[in-house]
Amino acid sequence: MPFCPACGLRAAPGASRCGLDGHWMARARCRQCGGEVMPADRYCGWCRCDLVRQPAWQGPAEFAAASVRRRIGAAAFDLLTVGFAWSWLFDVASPWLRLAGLLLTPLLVAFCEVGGTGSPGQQIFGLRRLRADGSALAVRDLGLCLAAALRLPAGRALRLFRVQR
Amino acid sequence: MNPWLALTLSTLPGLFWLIYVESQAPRRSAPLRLAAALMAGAGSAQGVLWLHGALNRAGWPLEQPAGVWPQLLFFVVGVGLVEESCKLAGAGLLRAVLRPAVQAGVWGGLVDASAVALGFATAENVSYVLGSGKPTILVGRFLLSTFAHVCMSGIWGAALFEARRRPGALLASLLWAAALHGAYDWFLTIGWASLALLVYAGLGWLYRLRLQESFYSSAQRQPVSQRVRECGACRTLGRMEYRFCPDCGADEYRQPILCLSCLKPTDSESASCQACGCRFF
Repeated sequence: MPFCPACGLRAAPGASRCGLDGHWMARARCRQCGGEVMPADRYCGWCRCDLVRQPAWQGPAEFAAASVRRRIGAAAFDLLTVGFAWSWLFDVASPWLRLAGLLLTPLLVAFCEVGGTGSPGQQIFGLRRLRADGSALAVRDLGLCLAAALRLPAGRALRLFRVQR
Repeated sequence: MNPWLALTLSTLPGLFWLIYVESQAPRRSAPLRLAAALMAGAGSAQGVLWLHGALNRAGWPLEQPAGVWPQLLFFVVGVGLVEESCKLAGAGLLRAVLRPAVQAGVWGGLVDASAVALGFATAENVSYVLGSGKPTILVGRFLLSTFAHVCMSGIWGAALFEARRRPGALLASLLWAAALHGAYDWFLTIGWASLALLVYAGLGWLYRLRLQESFYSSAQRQPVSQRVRECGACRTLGRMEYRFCPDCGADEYRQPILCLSCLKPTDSESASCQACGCRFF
C-alpha cells in the first residue's frame, strides 16, 4: 500500500502522488521476508521481524506505466506548442529555421522534466518521467532525459509514468 | 468556407479542453449538463454581440481608442468585463435552470464555468474561421485563446458555489478575471507577445490550482477505507492481511475484520463497507 513519506497518508495501490501535499508516494518492505509493511510498524506483520532494530526498506511506490495513446498525445501537444510558440514569437519565415525550432522540442521537454514540472503535454496528459525505479530526476539526468525524448537507447534508464491521485 | 466544416473544426479545440477538464473531475459530469453549458456559452457569445449593438444604438459605441493607456481601459472594461459578465450570466442561467447538486460543491461551479467558457470560445472560433476562411488559425486559438477563456472563467467559477452567501467574492473574482482578460488582450494588441504569454502562463497555473483545490475539497470523491483487525493483546488496529500485530508482535491477531473508517464489522471479500459505503483499498 503506497504511503506519503512526508505526511504518512495511505492511498489505494496505483496512486503516485499524495493528495494532501503532492509528494511522490513511497512503499516500505521488510528486509527479512520482503512483505509490505507500513512506516509506523514496529514489527513486520508477516514474519514478526523487529523493524526498530532492522528498519524496513523504503523505496518509491510502483507507478502505472503510461499508455501509448497518452505518450503520443503528450508528444504531439509538445511539438504543436513549441512549433507554434517558435513561429509566433520570432516570426520565422525560413522553413529551415522552423525545422530548427521543432528540433528544440526535445531539449525544452528535457529541461521541463529535470525541473520537476514536466512538459506542457505531460501535464495535460497526466504523465511524469522518472527513473526506472520510480525515483525523482535530478539535474544530472538532463542528458538521459534528452536521450529519452529523442528515443535513444540511453534513455531507457528513464520511464514515463502515469500520475494518479 | 463550408459553414459545417468550420463548425466541426472549431468544435475540436473546445472538445479537447472539455475532455481535459473532465479528466480532472472527482466524478464525471452529466453529458446533458455539459451540452447545456456549451449551449449557454455559445448563447453568451451572442449576448456580447447584442450588448455591443445595444450600446451602439444608445450612442456609446465600444470602439478601440487611439492611445496605449485608453486601450488598456477599453480592453479591461469593454472586452474583459463585458465578455466575462456575459459568460457569468450564461453560467448563472444554467445553474438556475439545471440546479447543481449540493455535493457538486466548488467543483460544480468550476466545471459549469469552464464548459460555458468553452461554448463561448467555440462560438468565437466559428466566427473567426468563417471570417478569415483559414482553418489554420485554429492552431493558435486551440493553444491560447480557447484555454485562456477557460482559465479566466475558472477565476469566478470557483466562487459560483457560494455566490448567494458571498456575492462580494463573486464580484471581486469577476473583476479580477476582467482585469486579466483585458491585460492579456492588451499585450497582444500592442505587440508584447511575451508578456501576454506570461499572463497566460499565470492564468494556467491559477486554473490548475483551482482544479486541484476543488478536486480535493469535493464531497463527490468516493471515500476510501481499509480493512483492519484489532490485536487481542494491545488493541492496536493493523492491516487485515497481517499475521502478527505490527505494534506488539503478538499473534493474537484473530479478531473480526473492521472497516477503518466506521469500525463496523465487515467481511474480507466485499469491495466496499456495507455500513458506511467506503470503498476498500
